[in-house]
Amino acid sequence: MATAQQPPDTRRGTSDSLLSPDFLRRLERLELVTRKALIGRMKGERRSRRRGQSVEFADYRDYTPGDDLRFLDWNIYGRLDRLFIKLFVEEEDLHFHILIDASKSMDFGTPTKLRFATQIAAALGFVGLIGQDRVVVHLLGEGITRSSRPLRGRRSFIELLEFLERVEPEAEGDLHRSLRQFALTYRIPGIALVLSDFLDKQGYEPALRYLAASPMEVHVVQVLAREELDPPLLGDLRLIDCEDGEELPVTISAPLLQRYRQRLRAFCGGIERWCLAREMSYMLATSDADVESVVFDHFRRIGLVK
Amino acid sequence: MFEFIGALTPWQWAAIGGAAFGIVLLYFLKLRREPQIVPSTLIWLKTTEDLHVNRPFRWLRANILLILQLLLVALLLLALLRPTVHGGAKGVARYVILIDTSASMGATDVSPNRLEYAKEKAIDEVVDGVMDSNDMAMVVAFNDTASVVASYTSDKDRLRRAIRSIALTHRSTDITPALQLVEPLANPDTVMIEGEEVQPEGAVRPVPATVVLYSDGGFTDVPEASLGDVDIVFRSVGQEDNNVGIAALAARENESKPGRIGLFVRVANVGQAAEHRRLQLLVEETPVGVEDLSVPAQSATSASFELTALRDALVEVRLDGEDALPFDNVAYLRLRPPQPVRVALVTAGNRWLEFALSTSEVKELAEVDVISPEQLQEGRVQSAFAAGQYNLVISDGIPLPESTEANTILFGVAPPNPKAARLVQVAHPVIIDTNSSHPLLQYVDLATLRIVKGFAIDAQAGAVPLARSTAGTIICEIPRGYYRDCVVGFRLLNEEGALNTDWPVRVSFPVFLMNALRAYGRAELTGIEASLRPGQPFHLDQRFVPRGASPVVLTPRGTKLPMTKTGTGYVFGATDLVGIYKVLNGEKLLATFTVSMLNQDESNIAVRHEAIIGGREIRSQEQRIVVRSELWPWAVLLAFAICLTEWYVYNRRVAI
Repeated sequence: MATAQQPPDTRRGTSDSLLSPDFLRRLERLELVTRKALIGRMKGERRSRRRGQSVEFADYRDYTPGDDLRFLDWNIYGRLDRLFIKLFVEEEDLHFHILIDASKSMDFGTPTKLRFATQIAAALGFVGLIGQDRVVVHLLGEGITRSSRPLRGRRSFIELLEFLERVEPEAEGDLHRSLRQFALTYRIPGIALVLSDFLDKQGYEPALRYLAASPMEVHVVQVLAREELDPPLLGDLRLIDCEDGEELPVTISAPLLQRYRQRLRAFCGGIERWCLAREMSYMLATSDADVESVVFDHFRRIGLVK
Repeated sequence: MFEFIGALTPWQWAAIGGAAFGIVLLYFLKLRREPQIVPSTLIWLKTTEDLHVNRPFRWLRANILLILQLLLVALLLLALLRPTVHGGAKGVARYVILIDTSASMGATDVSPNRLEYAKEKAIDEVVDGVMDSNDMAMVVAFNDTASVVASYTSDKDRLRRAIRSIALTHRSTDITPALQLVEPLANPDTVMIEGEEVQPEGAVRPVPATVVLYSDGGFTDVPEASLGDVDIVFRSVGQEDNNVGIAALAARENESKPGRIGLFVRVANVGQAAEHRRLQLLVEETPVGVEDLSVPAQSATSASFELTALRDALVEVRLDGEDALPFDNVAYLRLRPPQPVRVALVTAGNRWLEFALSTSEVKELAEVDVISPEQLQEGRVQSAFAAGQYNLVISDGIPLPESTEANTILFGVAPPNPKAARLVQVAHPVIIDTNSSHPLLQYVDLATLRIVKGFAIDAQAGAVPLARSTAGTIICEIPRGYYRDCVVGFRLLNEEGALNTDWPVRVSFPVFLMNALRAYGRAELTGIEASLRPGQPFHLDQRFVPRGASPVVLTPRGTKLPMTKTGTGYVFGATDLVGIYKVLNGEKLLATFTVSMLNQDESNIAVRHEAIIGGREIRSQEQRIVVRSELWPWAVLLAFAICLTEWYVYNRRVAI
């Protein structure tokens, strides 16, 4: 459990632009929640599904030979003349992976999608750090291009911020390769938060399928710019893909825009249905959305934080 | 149904074609797409892929602006071509009612006759039928001429009165003058310049008119008529085609029996059945001969009568019996005493010439006045010369006054107009060539003529040389206004009164003078005066009318109409009806003339139900009287709508 302490020093400038001190103070009241079984390597402040040696009583079970006699409940034995072993809630740390799509397409919008993703990452990372969870941030480009050191504890927040501030968009993104690499590398259960626009021409399904097969509890946040949802485009244009440079001549008219919006809605709806079918949470956020409300409303609603 | 009445010149076609080509060119030149960097073309690709797969006429949608622009040009082109459609909604309509008043319209196969039937039908169909209160109509009556009976008006009472006032004539049919009258309505912007039609620029075309033609179709087709946007509706009038009529009447003096006149009549049957009719000959309304004729169907037969030469009589041939066309059953001829030729011989004394003009043959033809040079100076003679009282003046070397109004034969003297010819004296000219085909020199042999002194004639252009000598033209005919002067380039006598030539003692000399009387004096041996045809004007010579009289003509209708004065007498033109016309001065009969139809085409009262006018085949009965509406305003309106659509599409991008 996070204890009420002073927020970390956020005067280093970088934090000013990512998260406001007031927001951080509010974040302190949150903690990450996971529905999946967790196997931490270190004792943490998290209740594990495994019965362990915390002080919090969880259950009783019949004594079987070989059990630690220290956990016999002698009071029960006195009353019922039967041997019961007291089970306690195991408390352990949580592996929290934040995967930020840093492909060039994320460097779009006002503010950029990447900026929004880093803000979300900073906020949830902060929640994880103060919850003594193990927070790792991965930048996804043509693979996992960079990962932060596993961070833990309030003091690591500055490092987290520094890492996030240094995030630069990569030339080209390969979501499939990145998530495959992640799934193969990290086999310990935990939480994986994916922040991406999912505008990958190879499709989102093969990529997300790696996460679905992993023991991670996966949360998907699709970040799109307002300009992508409602493009301010009209006329005879040559659309150029910022990542692969593909060109598409198109005469944009009101009906075409209408059709584009329908197609985009169908695309996002497809991701959502796909995710929900695999017990992943999904959220569509615009890059100009209020980070606080996203964290406090959406993530609370889907049970990532409480 | 649809018709294009506008026409574009090749240059206008080229301009429009160029505009369309330019639009296409500009469209593709203009289509430089602006580059726009987007995060991903993924969704755009999916969007356009959908379209490629699902949308029919994708190419059309992609080039919608181009299509609209081309459509705009096409519509403007359509408007320029002025499409019209028959029927439909009409604006202010114009009608031209053409009514045939020719002889065949007098056929009584429909009651009371074709013309009256046509008139009532025109009133029923047009004036009281299709005409709205705003519509206008004009009425034109035509036979071989056309006249406007009522100009454009929407006053129906006036139109009815005008139509009912149209009277039958016995003239022939020719629709061309009527079409020429209508043509300005069709092509009002066309003017004739030096025989070519020219369209002045900027001319505005009027409302197209509908011509409703009421006729029995007895006119020849006029495929070359230019009708432009005038629409013709043909209403044929009449039912039957059975008719027998006198097609020709001629009289000739019987050469083998002097004093007898042969009369030849040709009777035509235009019907489908053979006819038996009786032909009567009447002289001064007294029957003098009858012949029963059998005329096969669609054929003609001839009859002849012989008359004793009558000095003055009205001859009438009449077909008995009833048929549809009564006035072709009669024809007239007038026998008159021959009018003597009035000859003035101006001479100082020439017994050869006087003798040659005093023969019995000459006396039968001519009255010769011998005038001396002294008498020629008298005012009485001069005014007689100037008034044209002589038909022929023969001058024996005496110059004639310039005011001479007569043909002249001039021996060795310049014509009355001295500028017309110059005489150059020559000695012993020998005639080497004569124009023996000329009426003056027929049967005149001048080959061995001997001449002591002569003149070579240097005549103005237009003169006809009749005889050439070794020294030049020696006999020459020189036109002078209405008259002709025959200049003979030598005198008959010399100054001493002796013969200058041996011509007066030759046979050819009186033959020449007889030729002169006939050719220049218009002398005729018999006085057969053919009947006039309906519409032909009648001329009455001044000399038959007493001074100060104002002759009037009593027509077969019984009306009296005045004659028009002309330079040489009086003329009467209203000879529309067959019959006897009497020229009266008060109660005194001055002259009589007749008008006969003698026109087999008009006797043919067969009704024709189709005709070709202005390259169009028009059929009677099938056509309704419809108004042709012009569609160009709709084309322009549509073009305007397309213009707006284009503006909307361009600004709103409503289409893909």
